[in-house]
Amino acid sequence: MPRPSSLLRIAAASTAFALVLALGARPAHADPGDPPSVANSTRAKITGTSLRGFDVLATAGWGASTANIRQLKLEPYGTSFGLDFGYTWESGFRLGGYFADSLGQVVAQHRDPRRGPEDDFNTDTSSLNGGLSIGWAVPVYALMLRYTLNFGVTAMRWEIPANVAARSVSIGDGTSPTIGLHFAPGVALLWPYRWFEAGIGYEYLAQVKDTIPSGFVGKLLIGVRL
Amino acid sequence: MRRVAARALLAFVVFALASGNSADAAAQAAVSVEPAAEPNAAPVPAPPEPPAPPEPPASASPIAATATPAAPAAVVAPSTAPAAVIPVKAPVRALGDLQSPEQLNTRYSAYALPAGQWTFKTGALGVGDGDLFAQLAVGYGLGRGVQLNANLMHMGVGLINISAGWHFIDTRYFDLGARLGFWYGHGKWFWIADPVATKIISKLDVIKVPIELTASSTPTRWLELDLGVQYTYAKLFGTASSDERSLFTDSELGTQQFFLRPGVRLFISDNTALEFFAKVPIYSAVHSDSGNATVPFDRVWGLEGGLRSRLARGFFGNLRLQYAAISDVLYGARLYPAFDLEFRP
Repeated sequence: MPRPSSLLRIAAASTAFALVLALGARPAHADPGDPPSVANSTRAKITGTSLRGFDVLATAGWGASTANIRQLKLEPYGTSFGLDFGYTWESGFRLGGYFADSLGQVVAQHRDPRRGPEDDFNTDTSSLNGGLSIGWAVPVYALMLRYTLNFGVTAMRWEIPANVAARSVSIGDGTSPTIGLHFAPGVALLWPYRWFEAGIGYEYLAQVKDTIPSGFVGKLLIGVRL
Repeated sequence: MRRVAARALLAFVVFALASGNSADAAAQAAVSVEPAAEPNAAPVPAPPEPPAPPEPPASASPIAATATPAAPAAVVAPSTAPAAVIPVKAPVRALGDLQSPEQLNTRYSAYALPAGQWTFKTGALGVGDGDLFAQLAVGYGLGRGVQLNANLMHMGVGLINISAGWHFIDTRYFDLGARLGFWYGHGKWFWIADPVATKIISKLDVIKVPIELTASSTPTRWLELDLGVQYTYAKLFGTASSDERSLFTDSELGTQQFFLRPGVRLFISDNTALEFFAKVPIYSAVHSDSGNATVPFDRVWGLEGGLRSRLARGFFGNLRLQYAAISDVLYGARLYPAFDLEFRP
């Protein structure tokens, strides 16, 4: 019911406010003289002393769209490969970036318009996603739970047979790729061991442009922590 | 309707009694997590020490050197030793865990903020009463289990949304709380909708009064069970066709409902919990000047699962995935995420 752009504005405003809160938040560290608490002991188990560091992770996963676009079932996610990098401060706050190439899927469509003949055709879509990532890492025993909120751009490539496209089946403004903004809340559970880091996670790409379907992407992450 | 409501209330009472009696004290002892110190807790006196050889003056003791002047507790040395009072370092306030009174999640639970505690919450993409679309919420604990809330973001888009909660039964294993909310939506103020919806909504006003009774039980340190029973009175005012009213039906802004909300929280560490809830409507209808219309179950039920973590002292993050028909109406997909960040100074 609300305009997608309004939702993006709301999400952006919420995130900006959250950043202000984050900057004002005190790290969950006790004073030097404090007895060891559970939180401190779990934090100490991770990476020896702190969460601070720069990490680069390769990602591989699979995604599916969660909505149809004008009665078309599009799958621009599918198998995905990418890169995720960022710097984590001692408090757990992380700022970084990401890029992913989703191979997408070919989907068989059936269209029964009010006027004219029925159509059976295939749509082939794929996508590129990239942008900025804001996150927060939380120690959970020997693992690290990382919340993220990504803001970026999706370029969805699409292909529809020419004979069908001529009968007014098109996506967006009719040219491929269709480009739109997205924001993507997500979470990953990582195992940091010295310089090595690996784990699993997911993100939900909420698309602002109404001709690109939103989607859910689960992924494996593996990389280094410097 | 009355029979269904009576059965639901009976089930609720059975759940409440079962929760109160099934407390697992053994599990409580087995899963040992450092308890949270109460903000105003009295200092704990240090255990008496065995007789020791003559010591240097108390002021030279490392304990005394770090003592705070206000520390009232003291340990009196054995009578054979020179009379001396060794101040004990005041206990530091531990971080506690997510079951501590100042860190408990008040969303969909019986609990309320402690007296004098403020909370500021921001988030987006919710589908619940307090976090629909977006939230920039302020809450305050008045004491005696009473909490006030207002969502300023809703006010910014033309919806007055305020609520009060009362945590009136507070025991070790069973808690009961009630919430009363008030919504008023003036269609002409609702600028966030798309042009077509704005045109329709501008003809209508809506009043909504959710009344909720929630039981919470924490039988172990790692488990919390919740069961909410909510009745929502809602009425639409104004002129619009039945097709146009479907917007309010689908978004549940004008839907009168009676539903159950069972939920479970698993505290997987001192700073993180998994949360799962289901919305099980028993009765849903839209009441308006032009008549009543019942809303089928498959358009109003919902599921959600999420994670809540303490990101830093007094700072909490919550990420959820929700599956519901209302998500499809509001955001274009049945499966959709929601998130919020909460700051409790």
